[in-house]
Amino acid sequence: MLKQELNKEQANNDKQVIRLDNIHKDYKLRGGYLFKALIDINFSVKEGEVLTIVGHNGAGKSTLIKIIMGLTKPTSGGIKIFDMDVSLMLPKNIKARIGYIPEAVSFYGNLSGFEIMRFFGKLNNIYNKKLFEELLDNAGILKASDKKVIAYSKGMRQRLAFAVSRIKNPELYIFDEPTSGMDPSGINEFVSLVKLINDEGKTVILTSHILPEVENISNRICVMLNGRVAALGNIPELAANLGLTSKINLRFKGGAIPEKNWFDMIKTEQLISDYEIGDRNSTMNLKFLEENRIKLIKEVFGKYYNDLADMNIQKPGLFEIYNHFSIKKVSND
Amino acid sequence: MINLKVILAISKKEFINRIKNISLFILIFILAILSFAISYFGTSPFGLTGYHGTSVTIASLMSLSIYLIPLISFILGYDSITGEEEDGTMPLLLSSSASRSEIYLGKFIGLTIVISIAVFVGYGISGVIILLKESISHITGYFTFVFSSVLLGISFLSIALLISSFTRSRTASITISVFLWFFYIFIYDLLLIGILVATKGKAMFINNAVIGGFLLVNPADVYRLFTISFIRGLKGYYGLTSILTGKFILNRFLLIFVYIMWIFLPMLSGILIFYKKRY
Repeated sequence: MLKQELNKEQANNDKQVIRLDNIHKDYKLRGGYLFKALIDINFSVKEGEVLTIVGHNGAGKSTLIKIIMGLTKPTSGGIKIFDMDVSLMLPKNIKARIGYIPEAVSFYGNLSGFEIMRFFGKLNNIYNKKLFEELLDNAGILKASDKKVIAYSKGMRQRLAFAVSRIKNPELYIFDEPTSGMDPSGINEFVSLVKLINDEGKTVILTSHILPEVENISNRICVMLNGRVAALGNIPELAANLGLTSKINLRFKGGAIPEKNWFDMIKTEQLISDYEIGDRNSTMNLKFLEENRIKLIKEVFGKYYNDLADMNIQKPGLFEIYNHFSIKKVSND
Repeated sequence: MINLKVILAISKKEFINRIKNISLFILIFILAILSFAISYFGTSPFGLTGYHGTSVTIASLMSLSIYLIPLISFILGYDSITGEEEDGTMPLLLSSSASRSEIYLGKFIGLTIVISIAVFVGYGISGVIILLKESISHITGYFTFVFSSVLLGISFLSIALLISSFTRSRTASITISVFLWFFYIFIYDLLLIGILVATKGKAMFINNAVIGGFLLVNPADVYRLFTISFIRGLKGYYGLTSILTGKFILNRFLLIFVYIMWIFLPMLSGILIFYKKRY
């Protein structure tokens, strides 16, 4: 009985909200040229996860989001959302389950924030003033809800778009560059809001350039490079697959730095894979691959160097992963 | 399944957006002033001055309708869809639970209400003058004329929305709209007359039925024919269409059918194009 329940739970955990199969998107350009915006995209999004799509400008992130939202059609390939084939069009009953923020958010400038909420509420058959106020409050723009949207800053429009996307209480949220135009505090608040909806069990797909902020809320990362999915997985998996090393940053007291020979020796002993001696502040970075060596490295340094001021470990994150592919993109160009 | 509440919400928004358009107000004002001037002072096209009865007034007002009402319709509808695309509001609108046909119909209804109000306001003063000068029986003829003018506005609105559904920018949409306005209002009849003159009316394929058929391809001519067929005594004042055509072309049922086609065919084509439009 317990085993059956556990299996059921496992099945629910792996329930696919979106399934993309062999998606290709070509654009015909003037002069008969063919631009391949998306090439053989295959992945699924599981229920309750936050999937972040990162990639350089023109990598195909927004085209992919538009295809999922039914705003454009793939040249070939299939899309399933909530187990329904939506390759040709996105039906109303599926749209009702998706909250969306487009890449460039724009509203009717002559309406106030509250009127916008009421308008989109009506389009979704929802007439609940209290709910609208609550969503505006959550998005941090309730006080400005009487103002015309034309007077809103870009960040405020993004917040309003977030509130609008929540009107339907959707199961799936799709945010295309949701933090663009937001100030740092706005980005932090947005990240908190994404956490909030994800904690409610909602699935979130977002594209972003603000890497450190989305790193903490993303279950998986999809890296896109020139229209292809270059990598997909959680950050430790991706870092390991790419052979990205962790770093230990050491800082010494009073300008004392261990001799270079000593580092060459521990490198030969394969305790570290490489090292960099900083020019200033008596700092150095040790690169290593295996996590279980951290303790050993700490012990070695603790034992031999009383001049060690502090030591911090920097594991490879989204920035390093993105950087790895950016370099690849530049070399391809 | 079409949701009426959704259509009404979009209609309302479209209506509120458009009635705030200053150029629309200017055109309605011009329509009102000119219709007042024509109905009270100007029957000059017929060599008359002062008020000379309903038929003469309506004949003069019809010319005004043909120039101004299609123009108002184009101004109202040319950016209804392309405008939302250019302003970036379309993706959010399409992501709502409203279907594309509901969005299109909502816009169409909202704009239809605006053009109807524009015509009623524009011709309201003339109606009051006719009511003061004539018996109540004449006012029905005037109402028929106003109704026909509303249909003229709606048919050109339908064309404007169709243009807006397949163009990608306001510039492209307004260019095509202005061209069509110019073509239908100024060129089309001249072309027909030109063909008649060039062939001296003797070519095999040129006869009343063919010319009549060609007139039905222009909604402005359908408006003329429709109004003439319903208002007694107007035929004598509106020589062009009545001289060119045989009796069949003034068949009221045929004209109602053609008018409805001029409204629904562009509308259905527009919905289909909008359905297939990608962003």
